[in-house]
Amino acid sequence: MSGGAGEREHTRPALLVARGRPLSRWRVLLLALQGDAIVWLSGAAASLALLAVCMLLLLLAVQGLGHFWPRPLLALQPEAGMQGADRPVLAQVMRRVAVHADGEASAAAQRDQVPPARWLLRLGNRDHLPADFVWVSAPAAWAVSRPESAVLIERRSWGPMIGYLAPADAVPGLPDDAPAPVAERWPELERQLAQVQRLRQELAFVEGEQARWLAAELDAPGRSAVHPGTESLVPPSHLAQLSVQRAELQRALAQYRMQVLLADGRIVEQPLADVVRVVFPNRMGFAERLLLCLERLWEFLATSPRDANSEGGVFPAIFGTVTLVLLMSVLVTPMGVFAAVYLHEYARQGPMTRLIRIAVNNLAGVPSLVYGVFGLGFFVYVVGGELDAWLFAERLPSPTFGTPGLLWAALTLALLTLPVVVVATEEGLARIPRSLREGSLALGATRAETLWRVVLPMATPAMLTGLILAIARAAGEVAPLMLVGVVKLADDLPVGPEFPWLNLEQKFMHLGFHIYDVGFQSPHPDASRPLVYATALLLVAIIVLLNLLAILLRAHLREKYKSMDT
Amino acid sequence: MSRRLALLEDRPGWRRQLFDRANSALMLAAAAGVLLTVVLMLGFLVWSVLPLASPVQLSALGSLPVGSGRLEAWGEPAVQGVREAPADTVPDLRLADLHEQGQLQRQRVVAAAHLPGARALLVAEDNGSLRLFARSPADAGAVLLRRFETGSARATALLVDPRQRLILALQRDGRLQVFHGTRSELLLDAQLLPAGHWDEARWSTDAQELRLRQGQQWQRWQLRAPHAEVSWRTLWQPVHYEGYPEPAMIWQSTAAYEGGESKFSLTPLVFGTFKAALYCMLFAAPIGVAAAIYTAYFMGRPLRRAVKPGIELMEAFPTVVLGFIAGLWLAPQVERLLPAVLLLPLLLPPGVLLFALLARWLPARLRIPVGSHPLLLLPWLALLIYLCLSAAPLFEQLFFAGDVRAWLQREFGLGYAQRNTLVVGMAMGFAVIPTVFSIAEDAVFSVPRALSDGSLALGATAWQTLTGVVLPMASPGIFSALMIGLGRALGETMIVLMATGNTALMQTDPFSGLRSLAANIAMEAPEAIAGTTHFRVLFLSALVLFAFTFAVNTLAEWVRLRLRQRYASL
Repeated sequence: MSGGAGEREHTRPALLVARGRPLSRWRVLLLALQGDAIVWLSGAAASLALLAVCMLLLLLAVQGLGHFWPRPLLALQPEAGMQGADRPVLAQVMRRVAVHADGEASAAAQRDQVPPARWLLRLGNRDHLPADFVWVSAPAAWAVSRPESAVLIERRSWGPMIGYLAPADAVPGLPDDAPAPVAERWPELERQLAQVQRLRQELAFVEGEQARWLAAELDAPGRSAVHPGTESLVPPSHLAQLSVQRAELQRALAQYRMQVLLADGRIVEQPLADVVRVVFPNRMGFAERLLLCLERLWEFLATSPRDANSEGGVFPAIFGTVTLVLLMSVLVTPMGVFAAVYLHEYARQGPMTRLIRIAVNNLAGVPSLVYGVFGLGFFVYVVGGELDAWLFAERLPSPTFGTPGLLWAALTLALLTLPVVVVATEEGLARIPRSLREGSLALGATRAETLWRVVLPMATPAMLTGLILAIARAAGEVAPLMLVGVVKLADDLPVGPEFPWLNLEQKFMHLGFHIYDVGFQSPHPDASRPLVYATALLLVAIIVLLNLLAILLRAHLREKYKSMDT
Repeated sequence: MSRRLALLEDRPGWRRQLFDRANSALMLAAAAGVLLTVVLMLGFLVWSVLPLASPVQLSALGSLPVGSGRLEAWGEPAVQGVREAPADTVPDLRLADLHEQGQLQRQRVVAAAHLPGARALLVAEDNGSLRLFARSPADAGAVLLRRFETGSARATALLVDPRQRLILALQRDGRLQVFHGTRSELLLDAQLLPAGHWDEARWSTDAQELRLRQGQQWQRWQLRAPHAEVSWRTLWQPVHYEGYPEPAMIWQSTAAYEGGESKFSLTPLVFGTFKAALYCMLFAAPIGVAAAIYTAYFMGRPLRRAVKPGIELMEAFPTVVLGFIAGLWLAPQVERLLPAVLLLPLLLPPGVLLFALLARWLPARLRIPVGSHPLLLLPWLALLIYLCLSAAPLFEQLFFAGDVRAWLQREFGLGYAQRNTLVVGMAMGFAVIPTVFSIAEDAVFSVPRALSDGSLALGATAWQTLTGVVLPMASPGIFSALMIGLGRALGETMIVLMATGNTALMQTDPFSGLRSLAANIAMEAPEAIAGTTHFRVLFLSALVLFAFTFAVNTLAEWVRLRLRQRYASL
């Protein structure tokens, strides 16, 4: 009993006697070992669970944050005997995997006594190379260099471009022999990039304007053509002017190009309009890297995805998740809180309350997907279909509310989280001492007044706890949303300039679904994998924070009423 | 507070009363709303599923004189005699083949027609038998798919619906029997004509309308059989589908070729659901319960206050994240380190006990404080697991003859799918552990301290106290925890969806994939067209899922209440 119940050491002498007979030494030892074993094994289970949590958090943090950290660009010589690359290569090493079987170790690795491993290289240049990710056997150390002029160009399409910044008249050849005069070229390029940025903004404005006018014309078809000048919303000349402007801007943009020397000696042209950022990862110091890392993190949080969701940010998904969850909160809070108040304050405990409690318990146990099926069948097809028939008949057969959308998703999630709110609120109500209610009633307040002025204010933290837990649950739920309104890519946020400022019928993006979709259905799985880790990290961070908040609130609540309980 | 209440006095009494009444009504309405929601959910699911069981309906539409409208070009004519498939499809099987193989005698055939897709041949014979043949995939021979239950009828003409695989067998005197290509049951038997014979029969699949010409009059009937392809039997029992050598239970909601039959068997999905849940519980139950026992019974209070939320934090992980990690990170790792993963459950307990032995020899001064084992074990376990995983190639050489997958194949005949039940069990176990842990921990913790102290005072060891006093007392709670965990595992969607190959197989081994009810719904419901059989079968599977979890949760609750009553006096 060394470890198990050390404090109960004094029980030992009694152990030697059982049923009136002294136990043999062997039996005593066995008993002690048994006790020890169960203590240790159950302790191991607890620590295994903890270990799993830590490992998972660590994995997410490393993989998710590693995505933003600029990795160095390595130039690999082909004569290093790598399997999988026969030309000079400039790449980022994404993963290193140790290889156990000796057969696979490369000649170079054996010669230079490098531990056998395989590297996943990101070559980039999806538009110029057959594959942008390759597995190679680890090259020898001498074959790896970090050329200063290596450049990583983040683009709006085709993934990143990796190469050397080439002079206008660079001769194809081995990159190290022909170092590009980057220093002279770079300020010029920077200036051009700034210009392109400005042009792009202008273009975006013009395009937006054009879309607005076109949409206005679609809403009132033919007016501009029939009554120019009188009722016209869209002067045709204005539209024409816009498209001329647009074409001009596009032409101007197309003029800006940069030349990049690829690792295999080719020189390719890259339109600057497509360039997001030009980075020289090998020349950066720690501070610069950190800055770039933060910049990318901000980009991730604040911009839209691009390139089939494999690059860019997740802002629409964050926005969609938040909108959905807020809408859900608005729907679920009154119902859940009032139901809990009824159960705890009003109802006589009897069959009715028992029935409601059973209902709540069962709602909590129903798989989330069943809510999704119900939402799809009932909200979308039945309620939505009816709404369309009454209110939006002119748009039929294309459905307005009769198709999955934000409102239905929020309603479905509200049902899903109803039990969480009810249970948490009831728990909070139970903690409020009876004496307070009785005091209020004795002073002549009605039950409603007691409720609104005494009970509910005191139960606010409990309600908040319930709501936060509900939000945490809803934010992580994906399965039901797949049926009632989430999409992989929604160009527009579900907000609009007109009342009610929220397009309830619109489909939306969601962080959780984004993980599923990009992780499993992306056309560029290797390229988008880090992004999925980052998204997962974001989602987990949000939900863990919400949960911690709820735990803290609850603890606070318990402390607050501890003194009143007796 | 008192000032506010004093202000209330200013309001007229009737307004205060009205407010009070309205308030009560509001609260009642909310509570009733909750109840209504549950009833509505269940009711709606049942209501959506019920049409599946609706019988085939036939209603007379009256008659039309010949020559009115575009009647002559209307619908499909009945097949009398033998009609082979249209020229643009290549039928798998012809009547001549059946004749050659001795399955039937050609001269006895009254009518024969191909079912849509031209893979199956329907043959009516003069003795009244109506049989469906298809080519066996195993050999070139023909195989009898099913013999329809025609009873005393002697069909002379066949009408085959080109889309629905509906079979209308007509007798000369107007007796109509309706079958469906995937079921042998008789769906409808009706005498259409009061007297005489019909001269011509036509069927329109668009209008779902049957027309029989008798002299100069067309008689019209409407036949409604929207969900004839499913029955209790096709959903749960083996069905002999065309292209299969024997009856099988298959889920394949979209036909593999045009005109093919969709295969709605829920059995493999239910099987997959339970398989995933059971493997998950295999993983989650020991860890969850053991961790709960330790945390509640052995652990010191300050540590418990930190560890319990720590493990409960696992519940906060969205399942989509777990599924993603399981499918894209864990599955390849498990595949790579399979020997170590297989041996880990065998190696970890001895490893822990070894540590315990080492700890016994520590000098008394360094004795481990009570209830802090997990903290000490944390680095040891991490080290152990790391060592075990890095020794995977060694294990592979030692125990699995150099190649674990070949070994599995040779010894047990098992194939290895990368996304398999083992991976799902681990990932879903991770999701279920906190549920099991949390409830079981509460149960163990709520055992009155006096009881275990009494037991210890009487000289029982910690182990004896645990098995003799604490666990029996906490058993209802632990059982309830396991049941609720199982309920959660049954309904889990995203992990199963992402970490299995979603292959609707019925294999029990942990190295094959599976498809669960929930994952199936998540995949197919967004594409299913409302009101179709597919859509309703998906609703049915949601209802089945609802029923399973309802049963499991209710059982858990019932056992908990029963056993709580038993121990209430304590």
